[in-house]
Amino acid sequence: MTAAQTINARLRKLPIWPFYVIGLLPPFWYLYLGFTGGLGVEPIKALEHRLGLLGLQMLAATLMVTPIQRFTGVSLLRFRRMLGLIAFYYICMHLLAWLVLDVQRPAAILADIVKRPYVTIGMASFLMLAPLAITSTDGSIRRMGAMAWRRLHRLVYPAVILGAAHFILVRKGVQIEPLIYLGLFVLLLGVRTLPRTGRRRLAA
Amino acid sequence: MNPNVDHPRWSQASERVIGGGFFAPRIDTLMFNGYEDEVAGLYDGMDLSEFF
Repeated sequence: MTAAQTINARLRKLPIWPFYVIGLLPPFWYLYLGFTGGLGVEPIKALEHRLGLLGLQMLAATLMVTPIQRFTGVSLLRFRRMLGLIAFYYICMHLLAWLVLDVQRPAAILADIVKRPYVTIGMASFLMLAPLAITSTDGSIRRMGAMAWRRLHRLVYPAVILGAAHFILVRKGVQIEPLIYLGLFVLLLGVRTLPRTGRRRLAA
Repeated sequence: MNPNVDHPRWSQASERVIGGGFFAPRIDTLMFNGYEDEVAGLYDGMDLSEFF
């Protein structure tokens, strides 16, 4: 048995539900920090930014499943739905913090979505991810058929690029950190376009 | 601060007061931060939509 097969055998025995429980915690941890002064004098902004960042990080983790399988043979496919749903959960909380705690006024929310490109782009990305979360059940895959389901779920590719663009625009000027996220996403998408023949050489 | 003119990246019409915690309500921004009577004269003849 190769190392990858040993790892896969171990991974198959892991239950998935504890990861959902762990994944639910960070927003509550940030709320606790905010209430106790751990997020500084502007806890709303800090909470918003940390949740958005967590969302991007989890999206990156979700997109790593396929390349990891391809280049190492280790299969994390069982965990991918959990990773994607937790990413969407952080992004919902990020959006909610912005709507309820930050902007607060419905008229201002609409004005921001229309007038500010970074908000427009962020909302577009969210609207692309929402149908993916809704159709994340086994039942949806069956009802839609695997081909159609897969096609729909390719929406995650433009969604992460828009997510990175949202991050770049939200920062003042051009900063390194959001560019690293964009680069990571481009890399994760680019790796999928490599011809299949490269796989055997790398896996050997 | 001029609440009638947007910063290119955000509206200046309302603000959250720093230090108000998670539930700091938004309040309407006051012209010249509330010192309109005292300082408005200093800005006479200035294009306030450019120098917001």
